[in-house]
Amino acid sequence: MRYLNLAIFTLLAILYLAFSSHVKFSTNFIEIFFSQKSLKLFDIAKKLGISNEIYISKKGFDAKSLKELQEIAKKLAKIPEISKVETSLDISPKLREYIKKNYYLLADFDDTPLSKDEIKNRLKKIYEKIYNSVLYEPINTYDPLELFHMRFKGGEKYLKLKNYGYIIKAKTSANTADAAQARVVYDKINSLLKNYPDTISFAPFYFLVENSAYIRGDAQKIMLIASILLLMLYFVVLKNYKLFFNAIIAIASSVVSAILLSSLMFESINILALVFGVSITSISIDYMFHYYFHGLFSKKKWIFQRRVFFGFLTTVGVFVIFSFISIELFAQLAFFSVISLSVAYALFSFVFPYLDIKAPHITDKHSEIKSFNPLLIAAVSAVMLIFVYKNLSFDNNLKNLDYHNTRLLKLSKMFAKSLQNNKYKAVIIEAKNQELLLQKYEKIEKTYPDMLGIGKLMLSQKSCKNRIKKLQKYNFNKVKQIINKEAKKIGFKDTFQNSYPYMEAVKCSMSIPKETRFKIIKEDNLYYTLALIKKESLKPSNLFEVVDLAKTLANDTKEMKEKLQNYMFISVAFIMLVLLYSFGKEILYPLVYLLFPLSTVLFSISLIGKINIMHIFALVILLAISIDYGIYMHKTKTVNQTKLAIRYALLSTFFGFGVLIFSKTAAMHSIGFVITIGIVSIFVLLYGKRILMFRNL
Amino acid sequence: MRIMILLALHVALLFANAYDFTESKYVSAVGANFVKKGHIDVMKDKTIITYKAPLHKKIIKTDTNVTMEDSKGKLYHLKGRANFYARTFIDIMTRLGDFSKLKSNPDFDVKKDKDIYYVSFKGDIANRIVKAEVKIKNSKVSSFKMFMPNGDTLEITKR
Repeated sequence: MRYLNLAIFTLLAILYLAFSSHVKFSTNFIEIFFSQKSLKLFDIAKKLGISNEIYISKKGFDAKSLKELQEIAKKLAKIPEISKVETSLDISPKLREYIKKNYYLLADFDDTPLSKDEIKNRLKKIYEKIYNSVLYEPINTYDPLELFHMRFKGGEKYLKLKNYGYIIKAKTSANTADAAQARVVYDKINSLLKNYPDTISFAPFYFLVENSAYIRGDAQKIMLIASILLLMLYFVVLKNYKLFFNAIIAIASSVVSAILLSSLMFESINILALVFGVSITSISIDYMFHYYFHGLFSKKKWIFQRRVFFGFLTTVGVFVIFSFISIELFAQLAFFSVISLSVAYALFSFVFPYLDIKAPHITDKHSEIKSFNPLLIAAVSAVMLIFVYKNLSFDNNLKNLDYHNTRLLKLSKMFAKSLQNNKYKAVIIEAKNQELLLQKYEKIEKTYPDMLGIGKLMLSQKSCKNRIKKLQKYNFNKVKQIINKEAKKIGFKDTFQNSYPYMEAVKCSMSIPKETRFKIIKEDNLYYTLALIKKESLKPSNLFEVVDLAKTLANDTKEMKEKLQNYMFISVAFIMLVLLYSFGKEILYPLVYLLFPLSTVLFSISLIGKINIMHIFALVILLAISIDYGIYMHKTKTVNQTKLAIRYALLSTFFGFGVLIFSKTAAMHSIGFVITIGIVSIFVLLYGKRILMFRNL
Repeated sequence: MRIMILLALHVALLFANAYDFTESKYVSAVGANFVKKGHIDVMKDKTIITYKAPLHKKIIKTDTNVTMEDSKGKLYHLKGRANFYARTFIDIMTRLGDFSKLKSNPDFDVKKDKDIYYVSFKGDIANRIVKAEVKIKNSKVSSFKMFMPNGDTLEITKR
């Protein structure tokens, strides 16, 4: 029986190894923060080619740099995850042919009838321009009257990064929302560029890779501090190695059980849910300490302590409630926590009594608790909550939680400015069929004539037929006769013999080449295309959906906050019911253990700034654990043991979660802040009077 | 002091490509040849072409736009087709005029016959310039001539 705990762990480990192929972990961080609607929008945007772009620039505008850049482009194209590499701005021969074929349909057409004199004047202008022009510009012999107009691109052959060098524009087929896949592409590109000095590279997903690496480094440092502190707690203060090793094994068993059952419930377990789930599992140490300091592990029989059971019930109850939330991360985390806490509770209650763990030596004075007046604490909490209600606002900008990567931010600005990406906003247009989609595009184009998109290269059948009618109405034969006659008189040779050719061959059969930047895709019986509209003129419309990562994320975070708030209210109601059932009229005493830490934390946040989603997340954890202490402390006859158990439980919670307060990453710091303030306020409740009277703890 | 000035001039010449030229333009539409004299300065961030005769005009091409300045200092920004062709031709002129750029440029295919390099263009430019001939003297470009699809030619001779 002494090794029962180890045997259970071994059995679970074998089970894990046997089913490890079915256990899938996800490092996709986008899917946990965005709503289904936003995810769908970004998925379509991705398929339309808006994201996953990578830019590389080699310093210098000389031929050597260009040659080197083209060498990089060739090597880059060989990377399996890279789907497209471009160095030139040239349009493809296929696209050139397509534009040529459909020129009369795609170009703007001025069908104002021209008189003989007007034609003559226009030809004279061309003639004068030839004689007076400073720079060479070939005359347009096909359209000398400039009846058709098509916008020309800049005339540059290469994309340039201002004051730096030429640019390679590449695309990746990898899912860059997935940290693991993004890292693979990041590493491959950087290992290639290592051999080319003075080369810079940027892609939006680099933030995910670099920031998560930084955060991981930060977390590792903090975990090291936490581990040292926990080791000190067990080895130096408690001096009970057996308890330590068995507690670790019990927590490991709980985590493995939670992973196995979560993988049955969910397609994949998000790595964030796993990390926080493991941390929440460490809360179960509460039960262990409570049993240990009450000497229950040496009694060789199953343990049932009403207080611990109710503490466990409320904590698990809160997580059961949260497992129904429609936020994937929280649902996974809550389910994981329910399983791991239940297994830990079972191990500490039914297995630990048989492990020969010696009871600690504590003298029990059987003193009654006189630490505080619950009514007074409730009143103080209420005052703080009123202040919070008036002053606390929500920060829905998730960027504020991330590591401030100045290097990448600078690169992002540099590339965006040179590529003019910062001038446009991407919008997605949706319709039931291709014809309706193009008609919708044309309707939007009337408001935004500068917009870029598929409509520049393709017309709806309706518009196309209208254009053909317009062309047929125009008397080109007569115009051509006048041109040729008048041109000769002015002094031209037979220059315009071939003007306005193939007019009769124009047809509405536009089959756009695949390599065009803008596409039409079909998804779930709907057709989509992407267009770019200048930011300064963009106004909300029901004709399109704006692709704005920051704004969507902010809206989704706001929705997430509201959902979390609602679930927190339900959880508080549940806790109240449990407390009412257990304590009846004396509900206020345990309740202040919930109310006071919660109000102190919110009050502290409102003093220093805004509340963010990570604060709320940590508040859920605080909510689940703080009530336990109220239950343990209520009318306890073993004040010393209970306080000691709570003290060690709080210390281990601080070492597990609270140390995050030392993190430089705002997201982790926020969690640490809430837990630390929460722990301090519970300490105040436990030892408040003594602290005030300068007595020893 | 004189040594310093000479040194400064040498350094300037080393880092900037500048020369006087005579431009001869044949326009087939009117069957006429137009001759102009000018000066080109190819700098790191811009190219300046100054025509002295018959009319004073200055063309400045930067990364973002092409500007024309008349003798009174009035500025015009080139737009549309004019901007497009100005950028293309200034870019090609700077590359053909520099022997080192000519030989190592990834946008050209170059074949040598005696002192003449025959250049054929790759990509989009090939639709605007059929070919070019570059004459070399003492490992330096002495002149180059571009042939357009419509029969026009543009010849730059260094002076």
